[in-house]
Amino acid sequence: VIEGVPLPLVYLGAAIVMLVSFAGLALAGPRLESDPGSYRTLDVLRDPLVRVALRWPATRSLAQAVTIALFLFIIVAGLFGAQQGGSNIATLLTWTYWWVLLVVFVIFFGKAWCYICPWDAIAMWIERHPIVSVPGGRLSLGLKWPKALRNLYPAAALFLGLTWLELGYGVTMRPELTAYVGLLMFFLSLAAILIFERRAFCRYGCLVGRIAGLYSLFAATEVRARDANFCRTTCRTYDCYRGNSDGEACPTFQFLGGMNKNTYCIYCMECLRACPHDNVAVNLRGFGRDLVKPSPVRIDEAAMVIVMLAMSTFHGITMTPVWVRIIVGLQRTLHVGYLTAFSLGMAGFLTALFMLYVVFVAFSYGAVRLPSMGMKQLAIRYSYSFLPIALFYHLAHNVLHFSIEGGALVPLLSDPLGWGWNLFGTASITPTPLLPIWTVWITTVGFILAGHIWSLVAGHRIALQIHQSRRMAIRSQLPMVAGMIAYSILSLWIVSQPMQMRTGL
Amino acid sequence: VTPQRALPFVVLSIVLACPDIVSASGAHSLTRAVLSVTPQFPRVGDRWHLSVEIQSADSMLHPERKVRIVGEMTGHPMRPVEVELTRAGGETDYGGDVVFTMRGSWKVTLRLEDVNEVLLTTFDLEVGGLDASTGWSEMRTIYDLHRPVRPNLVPPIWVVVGTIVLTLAFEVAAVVIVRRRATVPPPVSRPAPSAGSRPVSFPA
Repeated sequence: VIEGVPLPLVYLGAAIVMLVSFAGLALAGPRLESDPGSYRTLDVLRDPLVRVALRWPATRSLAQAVTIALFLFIIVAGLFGAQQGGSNIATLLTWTYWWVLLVVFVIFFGKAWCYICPWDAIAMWIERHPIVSVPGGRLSLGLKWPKALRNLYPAAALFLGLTWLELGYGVTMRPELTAYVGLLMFFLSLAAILIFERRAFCRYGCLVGRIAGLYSLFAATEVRARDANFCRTTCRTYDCYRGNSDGEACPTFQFLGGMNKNTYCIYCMECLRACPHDNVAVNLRGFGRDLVKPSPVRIDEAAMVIVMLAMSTFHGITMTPVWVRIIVGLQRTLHVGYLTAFSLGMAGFLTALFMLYVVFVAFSYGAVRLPSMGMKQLAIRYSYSFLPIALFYHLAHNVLHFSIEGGALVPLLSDPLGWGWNLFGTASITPTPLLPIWTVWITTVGFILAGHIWSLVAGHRIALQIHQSRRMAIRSQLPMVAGMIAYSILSLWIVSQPMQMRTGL
Repeated sequence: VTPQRALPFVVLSIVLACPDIVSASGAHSLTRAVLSVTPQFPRVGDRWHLSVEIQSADSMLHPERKVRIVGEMTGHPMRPVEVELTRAGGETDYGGDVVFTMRGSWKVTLRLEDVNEVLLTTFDLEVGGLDASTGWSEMRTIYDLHRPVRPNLVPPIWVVVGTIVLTLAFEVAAVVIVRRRATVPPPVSRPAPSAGSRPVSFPA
């Protein structure tokens, strides 16, 4: 539970947002016009130790064993432990540690979560070790994923569902429901693996993977072909895509020769094992390199970005006193229950943000008309520029939670189920914030500013790709900058409000 | 019907139908307390002032409503400190002073006692000595209030058994279908691509 950022700091942040936005546009120089596809990378597989470790299948199994153990521990604690959020380690580990730190993890390590994902690991184990022998040795019907669902809409729907459960139903404060959510994800993963080919759920349905996938456009790591041209012109076996005796076919249907973004790669390292030409690289790179690559862009990805943008902000708003007034007002006006009022509020917020985005795009489209690009295409292209602003607000929000709630792990390690144990003698320690409050406030505002600046830069680069001249690009970008300013100032206002924490501390 | 076209109807159905069904299962309801304390950190023997604003859809004043603060020392067998807050100004505002009698770790419970039910929240508090810092002059915090005991919706052992049974059911069903498909030859088989052929198209 935390007091909001002091107003002077918020005003300072808002002033910097305005200053940077307009000064940035005025000064945006030709440096931004460089080819977004060319950047410096460092291939960590040049180190023989890293290479051996990543090629060795047991490395992944060992890492997965740790996450499976943690997953089962959370399920047991959630089901059998005390049903108070603050007294049970299940809610803390899930919502304050895993869900919060996942975003930080993605920024540095991209989709590495998928490498250790326990849901996929257990489902995969069941698929490979059926109770009785089956033809082919793999327990899967191998059906094609339905064509109509080959997009991010299933993941977007699951994300909205989880947000509804989390904020409307109070899952973050209810250990038992936290365990149910974990089990639900496992069953979805298992059902998909038994019915569909490869890892169709990871590719299309998993909300964690898809959110991490879009955020990982910003990540500092990537898995790529060392020479993509070689894959396209010389390679005749396509082992990364089809698999062979050394490595499986790409679980998410990626072909290294054509993959230039992180979105759908799950870092499983099967291509590294399968490629007979030693043409796979695991690169370290600068942040945000995939954001402005001109292709491919998709409407379902754009819709997912806006959903993520809306839900990040929505998380913040629901934890402020203002949200309670809105919900209470809705309940009294419409004579409906809490959950109906909450659902209406959530649907209203999402719709409002979508419509606002369309309005900003319409202004941009009206400012500079292009014969070759319609408004829909423009909306898709510009949506990627909002990813950093969503990512950094998410990060700012999570810093608040983690720094205030993270310390509760110390007493809960001694009494993880809330049964009155004192295993390590720390059960009676009063949790204190991990960081001084001023550090938290400054970091929070700093993240919001960083996201704003990154979005401005990404937006400008996208505008330069779309329009022929810098002048036209700036004219087209101005409405989007106005949208970014509005979003950043809204974010600053949210963090200035006192906030309810997640786990009932 | 494509998912894109179906989505608005799905969302509308969830918004309109689901919440009331779910509410019937005794789920979350929103009652929050905005707690302002002066100063931020209490010191032993000092008066610690609390103001509480109750926020809920049913936040009109009930004549019988009581708001209490109960402090219990953790690790020491001591008599709890208990204070009933009095109405202050608006219908939903309460206030009062608490004096902690010993420095150390306390567990503080804020209880809202209405005619029909009790809602509460518990938080940890460190009470300092006379030389300790009092922090900010005022600190506002928000708490969700909940019922004292939250029983499991489903007995945990049923969930464990159900999980195992469902997993086995999935597996058995898959085994049956995979085996049956293996015995029936496929109706039409396309020629497999030769090793040298390139894939026609790859997903982006």
